[in-house]
Amino acid sequence: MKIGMISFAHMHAYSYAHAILKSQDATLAGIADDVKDRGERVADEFQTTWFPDYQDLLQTDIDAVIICSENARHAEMAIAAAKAGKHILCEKPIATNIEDAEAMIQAAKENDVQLMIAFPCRFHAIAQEMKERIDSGEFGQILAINGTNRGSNPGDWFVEREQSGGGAVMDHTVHVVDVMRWFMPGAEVKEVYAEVDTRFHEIPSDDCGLLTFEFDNGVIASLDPSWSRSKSFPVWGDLTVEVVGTKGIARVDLYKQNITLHSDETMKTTWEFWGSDSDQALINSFIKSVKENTPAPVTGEDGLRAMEVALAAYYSSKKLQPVKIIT
Amino acid sequence: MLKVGIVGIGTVGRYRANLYSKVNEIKLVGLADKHEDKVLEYTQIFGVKAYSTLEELVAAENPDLIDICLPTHLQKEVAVKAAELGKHVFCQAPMAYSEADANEMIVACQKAGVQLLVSNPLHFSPEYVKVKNLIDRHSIGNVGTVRIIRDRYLDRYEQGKSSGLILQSLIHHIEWLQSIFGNIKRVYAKRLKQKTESIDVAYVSLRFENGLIAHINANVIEGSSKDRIFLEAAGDKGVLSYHSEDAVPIYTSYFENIALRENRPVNDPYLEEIKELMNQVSSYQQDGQVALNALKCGLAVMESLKSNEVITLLDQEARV
Repeated sequence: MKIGMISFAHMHAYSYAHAILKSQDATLAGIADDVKDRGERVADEFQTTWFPDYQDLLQTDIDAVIICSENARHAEMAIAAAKAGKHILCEKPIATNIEDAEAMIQAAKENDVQLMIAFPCRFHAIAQEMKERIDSGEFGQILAINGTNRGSNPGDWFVEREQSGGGAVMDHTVHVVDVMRWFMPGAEVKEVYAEVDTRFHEIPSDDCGLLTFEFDNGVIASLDPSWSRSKSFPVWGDLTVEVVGTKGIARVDLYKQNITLHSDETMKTTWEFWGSDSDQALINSFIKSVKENTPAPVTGEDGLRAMEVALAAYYSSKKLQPVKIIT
Repeated sequence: MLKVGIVGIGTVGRYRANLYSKVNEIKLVGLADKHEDKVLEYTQIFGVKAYSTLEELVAAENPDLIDICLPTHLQKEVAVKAAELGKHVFCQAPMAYSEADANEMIVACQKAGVQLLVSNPLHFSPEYVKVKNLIDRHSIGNVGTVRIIRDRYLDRYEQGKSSGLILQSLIHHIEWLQSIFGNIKRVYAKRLKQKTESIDVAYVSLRFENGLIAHINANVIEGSSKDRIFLEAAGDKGVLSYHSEDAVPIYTSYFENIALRENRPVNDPYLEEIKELMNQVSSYQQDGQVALNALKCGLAVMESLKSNEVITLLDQEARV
């Protein structure tokens, strides 16, 4: 199976490219990037062909593309890929507005290609174990979930609303909401209240927030999606979930498995993670879905539902009122 | 495709038979166990034929490699026999209880031109791999001291079993340390003097040729707690540490009294190890020397425990 990559604007592209190289079932057939320096550099690094124009990459015999452009460009590229008959793995969030996301889903459907959204947390071994344990009934019925996905300020285009669709709240809400929806199949967020602000960095976008929300099955939830980890923090960020069920409680920390390193080189203490490689598992899953022509485990609809919650959070923070999501 | 035969169908043998079923490139072709009455039962359980001797297994199934899952004192005989039959040998650490037996295994495999592989799961445990990588890329500079604590819990404490487990823990760690820091110069060790019904404690001091001072504390404890690893390395440019009790990604509590479940390991080091068997069998230089070096040091520790003397390994080497 041949995979092309469109844009290395999002840093996850590097990790995905490495994952393709490590896969036995796929090859990296080319990288399209309209930023010349970056395109040439990464094509050289991963020993593949650079395409200045992604349309040219789409004309080749690749089977699938991975899109890691600025969020606002996802729709244009994904729709072009669908029309060229290429399966798509798109970085999260799916898009920056509902119309774009719906158009992407529609284009994939019409051209009979897969549209998978990159939510690696689902593929983390610890999250997988937790999902199985929830499904087995170990914690009974879920009553409440709270989560965090705190990180460092990614800077660059991430803080430019026109390109990213929003700051920390857009960037991080979708990961945790997706995990929560996955833990409770069929449940959707019905009401969101959010505080959103810029309190950590001098950037044009928001960098912190707090979502207090409820699912249509009655489960209450909260979520901190801030870019609140300082430069001195031992690791880039976290992803934690606490689940309260009718039988018990589980506290999950996806990045707990690490070695503590105090280094004079960096004058910092860091946590060096040794746990599962969720990006590799994500890429393997995408390759498997395309090869075996089975539905991708994370769909465009999943991407849309998660993004809707982030958009509702922004709306709520402006209104200073909880807002309803009608799907 | 690598064809594997297992000798010895105790707890270890059963566990490993199951592991082989998870690896595509390796095929378990047969089992051997001296308990003839159980041979039929084993055939049913594992879906491959069980034989009462190694010779019968080899004659009927012609495996490429024999995985020996027997108690340490029985490994040598089977290893030598397997080598003479032209089969690669894979066994558990410690490879034997004496240097002479280990040498006999090595010579037999050399003569037959087959590989001698000795298991060490630490090379496939992600936390140990990470620590080795960090040290190898000089994250903490030159390492001055290393401190390791390894607790292993047993449902029921047995003096004999605890000795074996302590020696195995020590040899795994000694070999892992040697793979990073090189040769060990001298050892000294203490073990709990009073025999108890519930705990065995060994404190080991290792001094390496490169100057490193390493401490291994191996404990075997009766109880239901989870096995524990503490590991710290201090260098002239930094310190790294790991405590398995801190690395619990899923913590649970229940409203009713339900037995706590253990977190699943990131990967099973023993499974990762057999995935590498193919590569190891086709590479040259798998002659058991590395395992022998670790064994020598492990035996020196045991000697020190008995004699209360410092054992210098280089001298011993010179005497050989």
